[in-house]
Amino acid sequence: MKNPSVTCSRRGFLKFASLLPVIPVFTTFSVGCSRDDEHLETHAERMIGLLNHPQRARELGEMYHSQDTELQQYSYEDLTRVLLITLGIDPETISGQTLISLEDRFREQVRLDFLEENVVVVKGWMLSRTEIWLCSLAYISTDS
Amino acid sequence: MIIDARKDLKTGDIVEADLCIVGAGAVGIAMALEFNGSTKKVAMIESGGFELEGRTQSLYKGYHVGRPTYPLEKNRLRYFGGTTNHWAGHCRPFDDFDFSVRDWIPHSGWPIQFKDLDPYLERTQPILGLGKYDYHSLEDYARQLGLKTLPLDGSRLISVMKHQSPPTRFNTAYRQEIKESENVSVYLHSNVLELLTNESASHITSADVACIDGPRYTIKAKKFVLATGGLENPRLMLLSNTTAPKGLGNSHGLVGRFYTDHILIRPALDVSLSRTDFDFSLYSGLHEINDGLMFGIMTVPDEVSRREKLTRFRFHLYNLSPRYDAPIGGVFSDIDEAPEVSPLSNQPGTHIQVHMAMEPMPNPDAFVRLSDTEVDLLGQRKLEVNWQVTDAELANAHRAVELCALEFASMGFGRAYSPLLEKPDEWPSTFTSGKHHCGTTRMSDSPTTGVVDSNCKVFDVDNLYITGSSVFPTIGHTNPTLNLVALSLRLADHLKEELG
Repeated sequence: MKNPSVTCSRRGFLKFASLLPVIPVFTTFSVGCSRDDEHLETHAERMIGLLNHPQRARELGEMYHSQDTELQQYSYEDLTRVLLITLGIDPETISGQTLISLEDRFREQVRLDFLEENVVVVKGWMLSRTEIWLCSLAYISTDS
Repeated sequence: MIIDARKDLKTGDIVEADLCIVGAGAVGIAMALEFNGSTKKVAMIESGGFELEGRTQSLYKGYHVGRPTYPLEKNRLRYFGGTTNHWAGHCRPFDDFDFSVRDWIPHSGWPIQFKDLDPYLERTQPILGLGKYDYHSLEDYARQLGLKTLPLDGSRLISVMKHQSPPTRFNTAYRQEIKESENVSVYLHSNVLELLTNESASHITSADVACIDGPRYTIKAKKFVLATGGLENPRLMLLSNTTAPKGLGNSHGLVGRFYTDHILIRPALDVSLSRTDFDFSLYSGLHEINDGLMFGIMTVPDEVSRREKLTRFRFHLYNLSPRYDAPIGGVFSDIDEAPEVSPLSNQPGTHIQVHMAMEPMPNPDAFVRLSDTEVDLLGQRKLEVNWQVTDAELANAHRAVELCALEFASMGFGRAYSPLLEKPDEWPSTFTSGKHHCGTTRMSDSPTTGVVDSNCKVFDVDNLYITGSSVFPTIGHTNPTLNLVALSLRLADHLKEELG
């Protein structure tokens, strides 16, 4: 039987992410460049830096971005914050030690995504939601 | 004994036997040899000779009136040894689960259980040139071979074992034994046109037999067994309509109904590997162990079938050259702890092709029937085959490939592409049938739901039996030959008792 979670669980995923015990996800963004935004950009760059083939990741992110209308509404900062929260990192209290473990956290989250069927399909390829969001972040970073 | 009916018999002859077996394929030959050396006279009737002949093979011609698949005269062979003359030889028994009533699959459930077939499966192993009867020790075998099973945790898929027949060609393997037999005779070039009955069509009195360009003769026997395969068994039942206008055993209109075949998607998935340090050869190659050949496959555990309300399915792995250029494979290889190998490179062994075979759901609207207009060169009405696949089966197939894709990713091997993931509402171009014709004279505990009883006896006829894949009410994921030969040995034991 088709499991709707495979293709339709992004809303649930966001809901889950937003319920994590951190500050509200979408309430702190403001126009202009704040210190928080600078931190977020640094965090985003570190996450994108984990990709083995950034250009391919961007292409993939673009493919997914074009098929996910909800994701299209998110800014670079929104997506960075959601990804950090997904990894269990509070964007406001992030430490150097946390960033060192970023790769481990990604690896574990991708593994969990496949265990929990938190996945998406892009042109017939099944991918973890976390990894495709990372690709999308890479795409947005060049697009914005 | 071998009798060429064209030369050794003349029109009007009457052959008498205790048991008449129609068809000399795997089932017929295995059954007949069970009686070799006994006091019972067995007449086995075979349409062909020892070689493929065009005109005889043309008797298989028919039409697809449902979803088209292989031409009917191409996917089976009409000469001594039958379709074993070109079978692939993959073998695995049904599981206990396959016999059960599964409430999410209408019309499922056999009137027998695995334990009823189990001893005959063991006896079938050497007949098919297989090794020790053991389908449970894949881990042990892998260890002995210095190989590993996939690190599946069992929550979605498991690894199981298949045996591989050399494959045994019954034509050459058993011809001499039949030739030397004093009580078992095969009548070559003999086509049963009709089974004739008493007035109430409850007892077969004789078989009307014809040769192409040869005599027409009669066979009389105490018991008759149809062993002509999943398409010809119902055809002969429907053609035998002199006293039963709807055909023999067809008072409930079930002869030819529930036609089914395995659903194959080859490939169903391509896995772009993000690591190349695992040796898949336990699954992709053949291995000699315990006097036989074996290999591993992946399948769905019973509890997952039950939980997700799925039919059974299996996956075979093949190593092939990469052919995808999508920008995916190595993107996350760091995350997957992969070595510095890009799946998009042209290195052999960085892709795996996964083939799927899936159990269909019993469908009364899929059928075989006689043509109203077309006849073969013996004047017999040809078959029309209506094979169908349903949206429920498409959804089943989609979920099956999802589970497989999830497993490969969970194991950290890479990411999978499937045409079914890309277009979930369409059967992919790689979809076909298994050439396993089944279900057309299904076994049941009631004449209202089946054609034969648990002993393979036709409900309405006291001395007519049917064996082979046509009696399978459901077909699991596995190949039918081992199971249908075992079922035939069971029938042979039953008939030995019946004949005294």
